[in-house]
Parts: sequence; structure tokens; C-alpha cells
Amino acid sequence: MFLLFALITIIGALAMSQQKNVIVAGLCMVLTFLGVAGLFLMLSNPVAAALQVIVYSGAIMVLVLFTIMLLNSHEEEPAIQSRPIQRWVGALLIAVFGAFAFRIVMGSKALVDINTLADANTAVRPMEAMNLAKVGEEIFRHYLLGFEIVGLLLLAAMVGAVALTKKEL
Amino acid sequence: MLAPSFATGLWENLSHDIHYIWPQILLMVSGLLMLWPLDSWLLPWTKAEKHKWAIPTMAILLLSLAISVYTPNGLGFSAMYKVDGLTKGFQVLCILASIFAVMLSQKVLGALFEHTAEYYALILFATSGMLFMCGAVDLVTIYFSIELMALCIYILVAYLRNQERGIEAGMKYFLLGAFSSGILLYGISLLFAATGGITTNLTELNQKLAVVSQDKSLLVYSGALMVLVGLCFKVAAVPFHMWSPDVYDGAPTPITAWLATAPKAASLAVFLRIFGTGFHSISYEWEAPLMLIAGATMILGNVAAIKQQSMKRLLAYSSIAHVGYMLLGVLSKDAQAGAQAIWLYMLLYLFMNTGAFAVVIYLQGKNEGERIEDFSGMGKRHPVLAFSMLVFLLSLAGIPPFIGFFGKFYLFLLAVEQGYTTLVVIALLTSAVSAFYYLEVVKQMYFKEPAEGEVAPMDSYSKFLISTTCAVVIIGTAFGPQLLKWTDDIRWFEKETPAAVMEFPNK
Repeated sequence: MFLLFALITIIGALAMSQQKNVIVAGLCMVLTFLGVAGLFLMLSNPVAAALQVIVYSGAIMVLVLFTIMLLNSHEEEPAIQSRPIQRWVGALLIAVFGAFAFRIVMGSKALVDINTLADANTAVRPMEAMNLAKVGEEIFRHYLLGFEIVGLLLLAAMVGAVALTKKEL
Repeated sequence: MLAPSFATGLWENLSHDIHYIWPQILLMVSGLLMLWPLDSWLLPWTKAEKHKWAIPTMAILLLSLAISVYTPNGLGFSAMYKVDGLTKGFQVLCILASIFAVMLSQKVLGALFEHTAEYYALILFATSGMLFMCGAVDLVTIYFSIELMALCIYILVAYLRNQERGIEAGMKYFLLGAFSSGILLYGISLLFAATGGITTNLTELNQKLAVVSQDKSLLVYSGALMVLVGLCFKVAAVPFHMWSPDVYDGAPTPITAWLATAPKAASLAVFLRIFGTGFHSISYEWEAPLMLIAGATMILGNVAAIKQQSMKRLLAYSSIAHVGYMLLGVLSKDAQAGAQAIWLYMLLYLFMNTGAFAVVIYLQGKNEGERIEDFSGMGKRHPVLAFSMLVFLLSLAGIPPFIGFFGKFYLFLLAVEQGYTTLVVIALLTSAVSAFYYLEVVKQMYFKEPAEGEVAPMDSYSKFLISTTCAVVIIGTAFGPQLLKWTDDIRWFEKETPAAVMEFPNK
């Protein structure tokens, strides 16, 4: 189960980076987001999964696709060939990093727990499912200061967007 | 069932610790008011000019400076925010830098007719983000406040949106900044996972990291490294400095002066927080990479500056090099002494750097000052200006009689005491290199024939700023030897930190 979602995520990401057509690349990104949503579900966090589907694969992707189509630049552009040495070094680094990540993931105890949980349903759930009420409690109690800062951050982003795009202030 | 208790709980949470963050609240609220009711209603009503916002902004910043000095020490918001000597010290630096930036902005914005409330509001928001950064002791608050500061700065860099250079700089900064934030966040999540996914609080993380099991060491290592990389990007340390010359060159010059000081001060406070308290127990993981980064930063920053033709790029590379020196203080095993040396250095650097930029901005008013050749013959054309520039440059180079020397001296002395002899040798050699390119400008000023050009009047703010910073640098020289003694009294970290340090001695 875990491997399925992980593969969906990784294949989506790889396909996106290889894709020359921007719109298809955007759709591949949706695939990645859905895979991540599945991973959140397996971590018994349906709130994050729902948010992932609604916000990322829904709202943000619509925005991205709209922008791409409005900008009207979906003709294929000849990619600028980077120097081969850079490509090889990059590939090597990715391979090394990927191998390490794979080792960590496959060797971790949590993966075993998740798999037994999904397959047999015998084990006790390792953690309680996250629900909205709990998220709210956490945000407004423990992480209150962070929440306030994020509020200001969003406001600043809005002001900036207006300030940068308006013809005359 | 939940509703009333939840609401009261929320109110209690907010009001209980609110006295720690009054300076930030003041900045936020006044920024908000400035944006909406005051700008659209009050200004047309009073028929005031748009640039009148500068004086209220400075007043607000000064007020928050005063409040931040008198904030009581303590820990609040479920151990997310802490006020201690480190917080206050670096908050003062950030606010001072913002005040200088507002002062420097007057002439530049006035010439381009770009005076808006948004500009000042964004400076206020970014400053409040920096103030949060100085006091944040939880990875969540640290990350969010870094983002708050960075986002406002992206916008301010691209603020002159009719100039292609500014837009390009803003775009570059934004993309690379988003990328580095991703790396920082990834590192934070790896460390969070390695310690069992329970806490993001730095003190608790320190204790948990010390006893983390062997099979997770790779996780801890990559996490700590990624956090280091993310932060190094923010202070533009080599090899994560690529954005900095372009951004410094393209941004409006007052913003460049601000970029070289305020965000760096705040980021160094975070550096000290994270690597001084948070990851102290795993210092063997990040010590070697940080040493490499510090060495590379000093060498590349100084060597690359030699070839520069543009004054802003030269100052950009010189600020990279200065960050390299300051990273020596982060490496110090004695967090107290490290914070003290960095704070002193940053304070002195703030004055020297702002002064140098003020001179550049003055010359820019006449479409000069961008290139180093524009300084030729300034000794004859503007003797006073040239003299103050001489003082700033010599001080930046750390040549003995001037105050910059004392900052460097204390920092290097500390590094030698801590056993980083190789790095100090590099630092001394690269300081000699830096004297070369600073003196190149001096040579242009005093030994070259002046280009044609008439004397333009200075606006009162830059005149004031140049003369004050110059006076501080010169007068401060006399008190240089006492500086360390005065700052000895500041207790940078509250009591719990030395205890934590003692508990987990270095390997």
C-alpha cells in the first residue's frame, strides 16, 4: 500500500520534470499531489489528506493551469542544453541521495508498522487519527504565535502582489 | 461544549504572554493602519504629501526600539518565543538598520516619485518578522518568521517595478529564496522525525538529539546539514551566495544597504540560537561543514570583490566576506562569547556599511556612484564626503586605528582561543586582500583627476546619516578597547542555556 502511493508520487514527479509540454507537466503534478494525499491517509491523518486534495490538487493546480493558459506559452520551447558534465554530476548526486533515502525508508520501523496495519489490520493503531478539532486546538493553543505570524505573512504577500502589479499606486 | 472554554483559553494564551511581543505588535498594527484607513482617508483629507509617511515610520521604529529594550526577560507562547540578551541585542540592530534604511530612502524615492505607504508598511512588516526571528526558540516560529521577513524583502527588492534590473533581481531572489526555504523546511522535518516527532522546541530538541539512536544518525546528519544550508542562503555564505551580487545590484540602493545589515543580523541571531543552543549536542555533525563554509566565504567574498567595477557589487561581495568573519563567532563553543563578538561586529558593521551606502546614494542622485570610476577625484570635489568615505572604507577593511579593527580583533581573538587557528589565518590573509580593493576606491578618490560634474546639494537625511555614522566610527575608535567590557554585562542567554551546554559537552 505504502509502496503504491510512494510510486505514484515519484512517477508523477519524474514525469513532470521530464515533460516538455507545460500543461501535461501540470497534470503530472496533480498525480504527485494525489500520491502525497494517499501517504497522509496512511499516516492516519485524513485532515492533511483532504487539504492536500482540495487545496493543492484542486485550487492551486487550477490557478497554475489558468496562468499557463492565459500566458499562452504552451508551445514547446527548445530546451537549452546544459553542459553534459552538469547533467552527469546531477544524476550521480541524485542516485547517491536516492539510494540513501531508499535505505532509510526501507529500513525504518515505521514502514513495517504501516504495512502490518494495512495488510492484516491486527495490530493496534499506532496513533490516533488526526481530526479537525485537534488541529484547531494545536493551532490556537500551542502554535498560536506561529499562526499569528502566518496571518501577517499572508497579508504582506497580498500587499506585495498588489504593489507589484498595479500600474500606478 | 468547547466553545466558551476554547475562546477564553485562546484569549488567555494571547494576553498572558503578550508583553513579550509589544514591539512587534506595534510595528504590525501601525503597518496595517498605514495601509488602509490612514493612507486612503487621512492623507487626502489633510492634503499631506505621500512622503510624509517617512517621519511617522521612523517615529514608530524608534518607539519599538525603546519598547524592545525594556521588554522583560522570559519565555512565552508555549515556549515558542524567548526574550533574553540575545533577543534584545539583535532586535536593536534590526530596528536601527530599518531606521537607517527609511532615512536613506527619502532621496531615492523622491527622485523616482515612488513614495507610497506600501513601501513603509512592508519595511515595518519585515522588521517585525526580524524581531520574531531574534526571539524565536522553536523551529516552527523560526521558519515562519524567516518567511515573513523574506517575503517582504522579495517585494522591496523588486519595488522599482519599471526598471528591468529590479524585477530581475526580485525574481532571482524569490525563486532561489523559495528553493532554500524548501531545503530548510525539509531539514527541519528530518530532524523532527529523527527525534521521534514530538517536539520542535530547540532546548528539547537538543536533549533529544544527544541521545538519538545510531540508526538515525544519517537522518540527523542530513537534517542538520539542510538546516545549515537553508540558513547559509539567508546570510549569503559561499557557496550559497550566488543571488547576492545580482540582488544587491538590482535592488533600490537604500534597500541594498538594509539587505546587507538587517536580515543578516536577524539570521545570525537564528544561527546563534540554532547552533548555539538547539544543535549544540550534535556539534560534531555541523562543525566541519560550517568551518568549510566560513573559510570559503571569506576567501571567495574577498577575492571576487577585487575584480568588481560596480560599487554596489563591491559592497555586496564585501558583505559576503564580513559574514564569513562572523561565522567564526557561530563556531565558538562558548556561545556567550560568540554572541557577544558577533553582536559587536554587527553593530560596528551596521554603522560603517550604512555610511558607505549613504555616500553611494548621494552620488547616485547625480547618476553617479554606480561605478568605482565615479569616485575619481572626489577628494577635490567633495572633501568632506571623500573623507567620511575614507573612514568607512578603512574601517570596513579593519585597519587599526578605526573601529572596524576592534570588531575584527575580538572576533579573531575568540576564534584563536577556541582553537580555529587555520580559519583565523585565512581570515587575516583575506583581510589583507580586502584592504586592497577598499584602498583601490580610496586611490580613485584622492589620486585621480576629477571627472566633470557640478556639486549637487545633499538632502538633510543623508547629510545627517553620513555625519552621524562617521562620527560614531571616529569617536568609537577612542572607546574601542572598552567595548568588550561594556557588553560583558549583557547576559546573552538565559540561565537554562549554559546548563544545557554543560550537560552535553562537545566531543
